[in-house]
Amino acid sequence: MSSTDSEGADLALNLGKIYNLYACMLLAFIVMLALAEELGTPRGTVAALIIAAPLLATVIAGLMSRTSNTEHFFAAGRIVPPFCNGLAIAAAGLPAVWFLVLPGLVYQMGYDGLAFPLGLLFGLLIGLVLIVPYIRKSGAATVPEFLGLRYGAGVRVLAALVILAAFLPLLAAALQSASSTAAGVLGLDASLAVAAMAAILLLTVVPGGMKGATWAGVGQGMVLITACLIPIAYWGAKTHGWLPAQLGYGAALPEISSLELTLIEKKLADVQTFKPHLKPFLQLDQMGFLAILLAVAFAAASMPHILQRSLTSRSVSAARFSHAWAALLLLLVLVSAPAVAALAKLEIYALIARPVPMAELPAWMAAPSRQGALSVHGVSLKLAGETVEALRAGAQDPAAVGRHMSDRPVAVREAWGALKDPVRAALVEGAKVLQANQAGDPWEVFRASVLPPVAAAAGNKTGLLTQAGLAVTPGAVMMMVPGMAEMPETVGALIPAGEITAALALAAALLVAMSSAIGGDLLAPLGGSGAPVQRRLWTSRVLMVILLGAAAALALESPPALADAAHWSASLIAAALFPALVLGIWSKRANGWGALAAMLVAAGLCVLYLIGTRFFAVEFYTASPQLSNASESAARRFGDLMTQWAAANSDTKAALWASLEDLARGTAIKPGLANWFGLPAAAAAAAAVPIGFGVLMIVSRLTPAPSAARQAFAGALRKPGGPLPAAEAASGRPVAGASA
Amino acid sequence: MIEVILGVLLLAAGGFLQTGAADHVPLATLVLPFRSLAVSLLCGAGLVLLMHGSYRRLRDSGRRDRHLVRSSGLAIVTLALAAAAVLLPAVIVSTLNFMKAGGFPVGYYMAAQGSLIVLVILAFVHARRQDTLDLEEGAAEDQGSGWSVVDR
Repeated sequence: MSSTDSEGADLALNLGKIYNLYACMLLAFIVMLALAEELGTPRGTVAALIIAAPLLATVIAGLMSRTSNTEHFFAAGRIVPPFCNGLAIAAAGLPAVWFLVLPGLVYQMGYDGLAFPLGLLFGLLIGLVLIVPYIRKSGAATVPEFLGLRYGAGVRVLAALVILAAFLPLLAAALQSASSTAAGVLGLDASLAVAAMAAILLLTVVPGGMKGATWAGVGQGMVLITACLIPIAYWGAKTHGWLPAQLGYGAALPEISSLELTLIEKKLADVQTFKPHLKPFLQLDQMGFLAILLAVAFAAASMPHILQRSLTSRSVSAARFSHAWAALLLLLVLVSAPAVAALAKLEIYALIARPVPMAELPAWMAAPSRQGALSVHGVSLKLAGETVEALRAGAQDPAAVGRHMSDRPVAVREAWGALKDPVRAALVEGAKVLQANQAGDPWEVFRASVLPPVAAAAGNKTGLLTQAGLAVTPGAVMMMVPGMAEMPETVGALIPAGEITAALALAAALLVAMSSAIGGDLLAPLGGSGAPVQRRLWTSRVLMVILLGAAAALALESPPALADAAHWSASLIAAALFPALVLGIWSKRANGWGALAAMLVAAGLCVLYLIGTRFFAVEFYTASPQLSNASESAARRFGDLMTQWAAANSDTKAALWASLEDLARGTAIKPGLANWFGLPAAAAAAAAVPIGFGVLMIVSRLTPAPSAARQAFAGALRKPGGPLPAAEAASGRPVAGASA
Repeated sequence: MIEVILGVLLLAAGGFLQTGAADHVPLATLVLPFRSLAVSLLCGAGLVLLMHGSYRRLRDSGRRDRHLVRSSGLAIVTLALAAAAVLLPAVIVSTLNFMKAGGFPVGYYMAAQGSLIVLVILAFVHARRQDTLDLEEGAAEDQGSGWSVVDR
């Protein structure tokens, strides 16, 4: 193994120096920018610099990792030390969207939103204990390769296909997240942003493969932690004088509760829909909470791109510690999210309780409203702008505007469609005022002349902002923070920089995993083990470009279903891979037939549940009403609607069907009538995984036991030192020796 | 092995009954008036079967391999502690919320930070303990522990 490592040895010796230098440069850069901002550098420039610097570092790391050695290209030479690997795992392991969305989720759902971070760390621990050290011992470079060694080539191919199916949407979502953040903050055109992000990814991953992704990932992890800690520390110190805001925000919680009471007393909050921040299980019931927690945990334990990272560690023990370090680093990130949510809620509730008339809404609401993420009574600045466009195109009344809207992107259409008729009329009138006042600041005109009539039409006659009227998308909360806290741009721009970096880290890891899956696990066994080394490298590189192109196309299209991609992919991976991985290591009797059956059945059930409850909700419910947790009254209502629908003529049939769908379908976390035992769709894996375990064990018993060589292989996995007997060469590749 | 599976099934049934997810299943309605009693019986029996079954399995395989037994034991203990740290506070959160520490209701604090901190500590403790175990049982690698922070 050491013959490959003249590359590796130099790097290993210098790692400490390189990354210490990088960390110092990062901090010095931030300080310099802060000074420059004080001296008058425009905010836009500062933001651009803060976002561009980590990206530049990423590209440099990628280019410098250029390699022609397969050991390095696919497994980073297996020299990655634990702490560095921990940083890289943390950067790739945090689902990129979470950095922005998690504070927003906790803001909206209160206690219930905490199921996700709990699940993530729990899953990381499960992976550490049950999976990680043992697959490292096997010497494999990818997860399908390990499954091939343990079970046979069929399982390897199936695993690779699962990875492809699950990761492509995830890659597209990560790409889209990075580009829309960049586009929003830097004012770029959307397609340009996607192209730029794709180019950066290419430069990171194509020259060096896993090596490039890993070393860039270490830097990205550092940026992520910085972006998490500095802004919130600034905010906490500024408003309440705590330095570790994550510990200090406990003092804010009683304030939030008392503000909640004030809002209800002053009738600024709708008692029926109001959700106290601290009360558990309002959005999810207790079983839903635990189910989502478990589902996220199973997914985090078996995510191939995270497991692949641990395969690049120096040794089995180092693999364990990398995961432990990753858990520590993620702790810092995950603990900040509820703190941000609490501080944001404090700020917003204090604002509403003042009370604040519509015409005096604070300036920091302008930016999210312009992006459509913040709306008052359903109307945002973006929607108003679209209405003005419609008026310019010749529409005069709400119906005509509605026809114009049907050509616009989905988000706009849905926003318009959600408005009631009086509100639409008020919006159109307000848009005429907006159109007339072209010279003024749109936000000023919007809040003074458009919002009050809209609010009155929606039933809010007080002219004040109410809690029920304000709607914020989860992703918007984090983006509003710099404005709310009046941070200097240097500090505030760290947040989008952190998000973009996290998204790119995730995307790089996914890309490497996918290209190895196709190149190494699908094509190589077909091409035979004699494929020349260089050809494997270049096949992988070409594949990366193709996959990235596909993902970029998907990201540009941006279908609304992409938002669901995260939990769909996670469920699929957990259901298919977790049972096979765990039992492959811990039970000698598990064999290839069992693994195949388990993967197909569990993944199949998962997909059935996800697609059924989302797209075929009515059919799903009518097929199995006994298993649903629908209440008597709801079931009766559904039955009545059903009979109405059957009897209706074709005009009203469509509308009736739509209401049936509404009843049956819920959201990902709160099921409608269509469900089994009240399981939310996002938690499908929590049920599929135990079923997968059962199927694997049963089918393995019913079919012939694995060969003696395979059983010895499985047994030897459990000991870090010691030899690794070669499993059968069914996977077509010579087995690597014990960890070197 | 049968004991282990049966134990897990009983525990799951108890859990199901407790959270009220199966209330509409006809069999469950018979038991509803005695819900707490039924849940305690199911969970208790499930736990006993699970532990006894695991102990039997380990003991049988341990006749051949001490390292295997000790590693499996460590893994089970770590996972059990982790599950307790994560799931227990979530189950009794409403009760916990009556207590406050530094302004945080304790139930909320556990979910937001407490359980997470315990998980991280468990991760490191497990890794260290497993390394020591490997060394003691002669199953360690030549490179020694991965505990050194960056590189040599």
